[in-house]
Amino acid sequence: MPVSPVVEITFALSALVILLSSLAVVLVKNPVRATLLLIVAFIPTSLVYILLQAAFVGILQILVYAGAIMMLFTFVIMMINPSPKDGESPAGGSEGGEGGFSGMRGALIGLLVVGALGALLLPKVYHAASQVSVAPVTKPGFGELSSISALLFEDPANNPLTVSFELISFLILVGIIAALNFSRRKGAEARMENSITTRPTEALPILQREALEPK
Amino acid sequence: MKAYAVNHPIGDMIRGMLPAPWAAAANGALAVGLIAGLVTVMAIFLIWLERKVCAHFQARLGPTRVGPFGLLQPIADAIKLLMKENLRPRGVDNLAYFLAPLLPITGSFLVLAVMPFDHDLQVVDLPAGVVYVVAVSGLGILGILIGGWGSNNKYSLLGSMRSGAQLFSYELSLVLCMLLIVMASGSASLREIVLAQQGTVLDWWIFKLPVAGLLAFALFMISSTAELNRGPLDLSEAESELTGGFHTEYAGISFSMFFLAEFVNMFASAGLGATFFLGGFLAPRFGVPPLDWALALLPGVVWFFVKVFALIFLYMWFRWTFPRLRIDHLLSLEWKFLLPVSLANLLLAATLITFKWMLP
Amino acid sequence: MTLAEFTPLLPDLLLLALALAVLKIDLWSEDGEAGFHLTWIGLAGLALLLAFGSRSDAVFADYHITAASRVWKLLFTLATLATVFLSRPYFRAGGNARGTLAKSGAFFGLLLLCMQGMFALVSAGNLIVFYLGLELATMPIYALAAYQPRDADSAEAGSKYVLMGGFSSALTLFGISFLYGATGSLGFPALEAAVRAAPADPALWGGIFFLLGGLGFKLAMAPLHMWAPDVYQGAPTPVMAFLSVASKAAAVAALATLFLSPLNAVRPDLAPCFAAAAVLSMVAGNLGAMRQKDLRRFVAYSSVAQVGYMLLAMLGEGDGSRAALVYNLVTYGVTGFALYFIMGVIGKEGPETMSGLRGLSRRHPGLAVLLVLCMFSLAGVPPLAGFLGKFMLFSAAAAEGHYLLVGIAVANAVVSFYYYMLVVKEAYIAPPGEAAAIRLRPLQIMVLWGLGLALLVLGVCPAPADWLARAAGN
Repeated sequence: MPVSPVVEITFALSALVILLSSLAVVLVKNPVRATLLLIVAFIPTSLVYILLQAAFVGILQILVYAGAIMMLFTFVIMMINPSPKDGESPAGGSEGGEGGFSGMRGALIGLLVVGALGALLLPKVYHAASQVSVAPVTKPGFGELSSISALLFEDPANNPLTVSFELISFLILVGIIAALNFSRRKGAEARMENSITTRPTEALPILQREALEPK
Repeated sequence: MKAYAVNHPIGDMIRGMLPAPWAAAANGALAVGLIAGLVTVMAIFLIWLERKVCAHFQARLGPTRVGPFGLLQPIADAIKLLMKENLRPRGVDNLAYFLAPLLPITGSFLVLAVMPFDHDLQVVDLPAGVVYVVAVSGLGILGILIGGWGSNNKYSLLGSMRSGAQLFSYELSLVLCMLLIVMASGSASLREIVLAQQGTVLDWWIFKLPVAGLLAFALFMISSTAELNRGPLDLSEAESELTGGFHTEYAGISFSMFFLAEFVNMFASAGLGATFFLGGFLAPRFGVPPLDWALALLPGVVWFFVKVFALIFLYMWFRWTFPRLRIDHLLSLEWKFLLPVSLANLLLAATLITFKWMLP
Repeated sequence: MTLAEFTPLLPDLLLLALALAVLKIDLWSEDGEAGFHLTWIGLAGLALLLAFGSRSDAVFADYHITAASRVWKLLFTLATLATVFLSRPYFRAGGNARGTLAKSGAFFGLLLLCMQGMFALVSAGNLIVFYLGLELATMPIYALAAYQPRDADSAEAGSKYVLMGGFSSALTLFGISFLYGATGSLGFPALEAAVRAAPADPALWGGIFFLLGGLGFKLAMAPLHMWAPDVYQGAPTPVMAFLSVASKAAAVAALATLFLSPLNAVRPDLAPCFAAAAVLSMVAGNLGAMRQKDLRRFVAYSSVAQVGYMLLAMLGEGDGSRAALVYNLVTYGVTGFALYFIMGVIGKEGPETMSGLRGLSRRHPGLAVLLVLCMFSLAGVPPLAGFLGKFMLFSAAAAEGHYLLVGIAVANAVVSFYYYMLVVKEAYIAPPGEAAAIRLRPLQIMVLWGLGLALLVLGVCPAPADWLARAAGN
């Protein structure tokens, strides 16, 4: 069954936007813009999921990545407000500095890795594209909320995902404990100093902890 | 996923006038047009309503005098805003500064796309509608964050930081309330949620789950007030401390975009509240046949708007009667009170649903 | 599912309950004493349960309880128990010259949750559980490495470990997704069948490459070991102990879980890879360790070298290798904790550096003797525990005909003798300052005797560890 041209065009456009914005994420100097561009890259990604009949995963992609994770990224980046210093390449590391990667060398290594991966995967992809039919999945409820919840929670004693699900909750617990532990580190007097009600110039660099300064 | 005709008679008429291949596209065009129209009219109407309510609550004179019933006040406001120059302060980040006002309004538009106004009056009925609503409303936070950052103004930045912290936090208890409703209805589609509340008034989720429903409604109202950045939880604006919060630097049309988004958001939020707790477009039934018959005469869309405006009035009532909270109080309220209560309420509701301890 | 079927799962469930209870009790206890006692009693009970409890195998939702997994779990439990005891003085005011750690409840809770991850890792029946176990076994250590309050080194250790750990997790996950793409399944049995059917699939090799990269970071295997010295140096000593024993054991277990069962079919082809990594790790570790002045950095490099020896076992055939690995980890653990115990004692007054050891033979002869035993054992001198461990590793590799490699390893062991002797030299020969004599409390003297005897007994009479190793070999 041939794919309808609407799907083809949508996919091509999404792929283009994903590629361009992902490239721009790495090339843009301003970190806040890079974050915004990453969000831009996530939206067509979710579109691709929807084209693959996984509408729920597509919405989750927006909810979790664009909505939650990138929001926190933006928040943190704004709070520490980093700006590239003069003579520093956006890829990090000083230009030609001793021991550090210069931008060119990093790009070269990246290209090598990408090339190797492409050589590894392209035959596989080509094989898959020539073998697998493109007929849409006819399984009822495919990619919908109900079938996903069934996949996760049905028959817990034999479901391969039960343990994973519980382990993820431990992971989150660990994250919470760790975060609380660090945010509670400072005493009450330090909290008064850094309270956000003082002048912003003093209040904003909250992340520059005294821990990082020499004793 | 099912797309509904915008409305039977009018939709059919328009579709009939178009050649066959265009008829299918007519639905989308009509839907978008209707939503856009609704948003504009609604915003103007809500501004008027807000000013009236505020005037009556706090004895302000202006809004009661401009035109009959003060009806011309929003028009005066709109003209004033549109005539102003769209300023670009020095040192702003162009992209962020001009992108920011567009995001919140986009988010609220997208929410309205799944809002069930009536049985057949819904742009699209997503099976995971509730998740979708949460996902797209994130755009609003993004707009406020980058707007505050892009303005290159410390008040704006502080306002958007506060707003970010506040919105992230209150989103948790809001989502937990939504989860409760999804659990009770057994579906995440907004239409299915409404249809699950068929029956008498006692079958609405606010009453049907004893205690849990009412508590969830209260939590929903409080946390959505915070999500809307409305008083008494409007810490991101807080004009007494931050001049104007994240939109300090905005003027003219950019500012009015934020302003518009705020009102449309209020409408969307009240719509969600009505859908989740008050039976959405269903006419209220009391089990008294003649009364029920009379009430059912009005179409569902009217009932939807009646419920929505009841909730909007509640929001306005909050805003003009309570004093503003302090930022640390606001955050402790969420993390130390609302969130634990929401979690406990979710457990309670799960128990009630599992053992079917619901009103008949 | 009846209650009886849950009995094999009891240790894992109890560990979870213990972790939550420790976190909870911390809210009420003012000084954190209750948390400490609950933790060690719980862990000791858990160790007894694992050693003498239910012996039946069970499968619950792709979570496999086998004899081998029980042995690994016992190893993790004992290592954590030792860490908990080791950390005791670090939470007391004046217990350590570097400063007092605070919030013992969260510390023990994180340790226990980390252990939960290790448990999941060795019981994993599919790649998702495997990956999540690996993450859960690493994530708490990010926080623990930065636990020293107001300490730049510790903050640096934490952030470095987060970055490196995050990078290596991404590599692992990438590798897993390649494996999934190549074989079409996440479950170990299906994975094994698919690997056996098509062992030359390029996507499979891409996956293995990334997995090895990711696990190599966790294992601190050269050339991916660069984070180890900084993290070991910055982290508080108990955390470093946990990293170098329990966490290392978990990484080795991860390697063994994957490459000795589902990916066993490709292991012979991987031999050059493991051999190269082993040689690099030995050389890098030994060369690095020679120049260190800080004991924690020294431990880091020495553990990199130990990883090199342990990788030799990956060249041998399945059961013998697993036995050699477990045995070696046990002896390494005992030796390591003996050294950390000494570090803890000298760290009470001075810095935990080489010069802090100066004059140890005068300040407390018993400690100095223990230090000598430790160093000899790490170097692999015959009557001690370390010798037997190395012997088993070398023989596992030699059994498969890797004589050249064993030769290199023996040469490295001889080289390592030099810098282990440097430590002994500090304790015995270097001129002592005017440091006062060290007075140990009775409990500490008992620990000293216990560790010293264990080092000797494990070398002379390998029965206890041999039992462990045989059980692990299954």
